[in-house]
Amino acid sequence: MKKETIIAIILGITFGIIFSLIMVSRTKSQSASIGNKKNVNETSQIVTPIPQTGTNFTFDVTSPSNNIIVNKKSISITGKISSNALILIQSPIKDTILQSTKNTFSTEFPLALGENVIHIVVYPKDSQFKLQEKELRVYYIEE
Amino acid sequence: MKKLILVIFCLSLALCSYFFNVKAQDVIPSSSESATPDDINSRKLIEKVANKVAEERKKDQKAVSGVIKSIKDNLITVSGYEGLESTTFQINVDTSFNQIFAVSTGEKKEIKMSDLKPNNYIIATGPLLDKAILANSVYVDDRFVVKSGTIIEINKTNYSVVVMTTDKSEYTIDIESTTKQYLMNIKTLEIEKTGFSKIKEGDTIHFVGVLSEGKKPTGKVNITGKKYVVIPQEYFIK
Repeated sequence: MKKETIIAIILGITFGIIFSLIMVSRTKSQSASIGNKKNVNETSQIVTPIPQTGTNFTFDVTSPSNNIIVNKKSISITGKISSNALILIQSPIKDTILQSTKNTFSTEFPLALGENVIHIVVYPKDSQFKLQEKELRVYYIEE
Repeated sequence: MKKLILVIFCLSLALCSYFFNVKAQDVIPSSSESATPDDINSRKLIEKVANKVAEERKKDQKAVSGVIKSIKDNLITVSGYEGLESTTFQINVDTSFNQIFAVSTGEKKEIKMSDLKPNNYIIATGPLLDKAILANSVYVDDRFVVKSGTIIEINKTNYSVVVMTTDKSEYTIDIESTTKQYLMNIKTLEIEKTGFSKIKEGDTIHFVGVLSEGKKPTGKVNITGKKYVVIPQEYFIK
């Protein structure tokens, strides 16, 4: 093999390695900057409070979601609600009655193995509002 | 010329060794004490990816429940619900891996595939693909109905009450000696034990019953009452 050919090969390998190193370092710095931007987005998320005007009635179950599968014997039921409402939560193994004093409610609720049909009914204090109900199916499965 | 080639060769060797050293440190950090911020970031990234994979696997897990229509070998066809729509699901049970449990008595009892019969109510979990589930777990349970409504009729001769729910369905609840009966105290909001004679038409009732096998959970249906909680009408007119 000629000297020139060997030199060309070696130079090619050298520049190739240098180029790849530059590319690796640039990719790393780019991913780091994206991560920082994401953090900024997460922290700058604005939480808008729900207005309580008195002209409408609020009821929403925020947790758990319907048809969720869990591997624990109880679950926390939480939600948003207008104050002074009567909440009745019923399943085949438990009945709970709550009176909302704040704009949220939360209770720890036991689960039976298998399917748990949880029926939540809310009776607003003001009779001009209709009762509201929600049915959740929560599956407690042992791992 | 030879010297020049030698210098370039040495330089490329040095660069190669540096590059591979950096990569090796990224994968296996020598110890936590000598870990650089880059190492910590890479480890966090690996953990994040692993957690994400685990989450995705959990997301694939779905639960299906319904009444058995037919059983053929290891394939069970059930009639269940997807949201409010009636749907037929196929449950594939691998008996060499899966155990089947009966939980209707409140205790977990292992049963065999041959114990399953049409009209049994079963719950299966596993990855769901196009109405077919490859079961990871299978449970046989009672088919509970948990509803509420207004008592429109009380039959004192055969111990039953007729309830109209908010969706205008009528349920006839058979009250048995084992049915747990409760009343909400309108002053304290506590749940107290009560008797059949204390409930009256117009009261609000929250009930849990077991639907007879094979019956649809809508329309005018008979259920066996497991328990009920009555909210007296006086609570709403006070």
